Parts: sequence; C-alpha cells; structure tokens
Amino acid sequence: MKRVKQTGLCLAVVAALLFLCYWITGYRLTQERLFYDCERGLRYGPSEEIVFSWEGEGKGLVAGRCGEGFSLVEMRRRLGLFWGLDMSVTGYRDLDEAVNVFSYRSLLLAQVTDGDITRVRVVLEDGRERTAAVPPDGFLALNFSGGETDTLRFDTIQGLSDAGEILWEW
Amino acid sequence: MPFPEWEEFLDKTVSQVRFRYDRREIRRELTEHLEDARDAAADRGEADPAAAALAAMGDPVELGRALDREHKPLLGWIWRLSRWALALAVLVSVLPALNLGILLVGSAWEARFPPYTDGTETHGEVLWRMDLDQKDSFYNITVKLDELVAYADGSYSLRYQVRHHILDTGIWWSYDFPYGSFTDLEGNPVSGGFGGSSGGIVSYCETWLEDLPPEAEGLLIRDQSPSGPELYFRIEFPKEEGAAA
Repeated sequence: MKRVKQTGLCLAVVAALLFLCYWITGYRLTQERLFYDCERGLRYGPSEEIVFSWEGEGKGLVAGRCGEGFSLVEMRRRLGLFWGLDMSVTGYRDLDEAVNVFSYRSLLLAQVTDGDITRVRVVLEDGRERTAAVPPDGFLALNFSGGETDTLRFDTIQGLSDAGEILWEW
Repeated sequence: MPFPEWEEFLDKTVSQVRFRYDRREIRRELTEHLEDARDAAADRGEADPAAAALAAMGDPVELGRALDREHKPLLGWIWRLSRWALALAVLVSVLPALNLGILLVGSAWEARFPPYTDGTETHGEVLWRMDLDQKDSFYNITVKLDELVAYADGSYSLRYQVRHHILDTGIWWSYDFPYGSFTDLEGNPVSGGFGGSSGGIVSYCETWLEDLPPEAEGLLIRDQSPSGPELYFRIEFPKEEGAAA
C-alpha cells in the first residue's frame, strides 16, 4: 500500500511539473496547438480554419484564415519533439491588398482578394519564375526550395486576369 | 555474512521474489531479522544462536513466496518507472521553474515599487488625480486601470495593471494599449499607448496622453480584437476641476 501511495504521489508531481513546463516554456506537441495558443496569447483568433501548414529543416509555419484577415505563426522544432515559436512571429495581418503576399524561407503564400485576378506570377531576383492559378478560396502557396539562400528575394509579383492583364503588381 | 547457512537461506528466499530490484532490500531486512533472532537466542543461553535464529525463520521457499505476493512485479515496475519519470520531470522543470521564479519576483517587485514617473519636472504641477478602479478582460489578460493624473501642460498619465490569467495556456506576450486605442468621449483620436507591460504575471504600466483636446470631458479606451472580443473603458473627468484646467 505504501508503494501504491508513493506511485500516486510521484505521478501527481510529474503531472504538475509537466504542466509547469507546458505553461511556461510555450512548447507544444503539435503545430496546430502552438498556433492556437499563440493566437490566444496575441489576443486574436482562433482562426476559423488552418489553410496551410509546412514543416522543413527544423522550421514550421502555420497559416489560418481569421475574420477579415490572415494569421501566420512561424515556429521551430524544440528538443526534437516539441514545437516552439520562432524568433519573430507575424501574427495577425490585414488583407488590404488585391494580392496579399507573405514569405517565409523558401515559401511564398498569397491570399488574393480581387476576384478578377485568376493567376499570380512570381519572378525571383535569381531568375526563377513561376505562374500559378488562383484557387476558388483565393489562397495559394508556392515553394521555391532549392535556391542558394534561405530567403526569397522577389523581383516582381503580379496579379493577372484571364486575359493576361496585370491588375496588381509589386 | 558470518554464516554460510544464512547465505543459503537468504539465496533460496529471495530467489522466489520475481521483482528482482527488491531482492537486495529484502535480503538486508531478513539479515537484520536473523541478527536480532541470533542475539535473542544468545541471551536465552542457546548453544548455537545462529542455527536457532535460522530455525525460527521457517521454510525459505514459503517465506519467499509470501514476500513475492507482497512485492508484485507489475506494481514494482510502475513504482520504479514513476520514480524515473519524476527524476526526468524535475530535470526538465529546472529552467521553467527558474523562469516562473523570475516572473513572480518581478511581479512582487513591481507591486512594491510601481515604475510610475514623476512628471512634474517635464509636465508641470499635478492638477488632479483620479482613482479609477476599473477593470476589463479579454483573452488571457485583465487590465485594471488604477489612476489618471492630469498635469498643467495638458498631459495625462494613465496608470494601470496588466494581469495574466495564471491558468490560461495561451502563450504569454506583453501587452500595451495599441495605437488608436484612445479617443475623447466624442471619438476624436488621442495619441497614446505603448506603455509597456513586462509580460510578467502582474505588470504595472504607465501611458502618457499628450494631445487630449482641452475641452475633453473624458476618455474612451478601446482595444478591439480582429476576432471580436474587446477591452473597453470609459473615464469621465471630474466636473469641478475639468480637463480644461
């Protein structure tokens, strides 16, 4: 009986210590959990839906649609098992452009709010070029992995109509 | 071990116990019993106290089986694993516990010495002070307005606390009233914000408002989350002294 009591006490203390770690460190087991807890901490959200999640080279990114805006949380692997926030976190972004562009490492995410834009054309400074059709929900993700640097440098981003007319350009 | 017969008895007894991690402790206890029995036999004047002690212990196999029933392997393993888990949990909790300690000490320090500035050198004499005692919450914080101090040059110091909800599992971030949170009662914008909470459990903050119209009769503070929830405060200035003073 003494051993049963000791085991119960041990497990209770372990549970309390693990909750302390969970609470203080901000490490979470899944990207989705970290995403929602980060949104809570930044005092917006939760996003209605996660539209994109990515993992690679120990880094991660989750994007969600939140009200009239967009939510982006950058994260990184911690201790090989958990996810923790990256050095800087974008958080909530208003969608105030016809094509709202976010980039993270080799990724380009775009949320198109102008229904007339049916394709997005991206040209990088290193000459790589990609044109992608805009899906019905207006969200698209392009991965430019394989470049020489970690950061994407854009030369041009264009929102094109069906006829090829440039409706928005950066 | 002074007697080979005892050794043999102990070997037979503990070999019946399946949870082998308890065997050493059982062996130690049985040896103590044997020694006590031997001393008692010697006091009684027995010719061979060690043999008498051994005889008093009974059959080693029966004794071993009885001990095995008390030391069940499943419970033994759970007990042993729980101790390893505790050691691991203590190890990984050291830094978080230090962090928590710093947050607690920081909050206690700020409560003892709130970081409010004496604005009289820059903003002139204090015209009036107003205890506010208003609070509102959203997400994982409660903001409690403590005091509004009006200065001769038309500046105001808003002093408030930001309290994090202890058991909320949202990631902790510091909180400031964002740009655009302040208006007079008519809705005219007032510059202010970025008072700066430290992100501790309780932070004491101060925000300066410097372009409130002289005729303003009060202040509205509103921080609207994109998702809907908001912080809202309405402060009406004292009538007699008036903000225009």
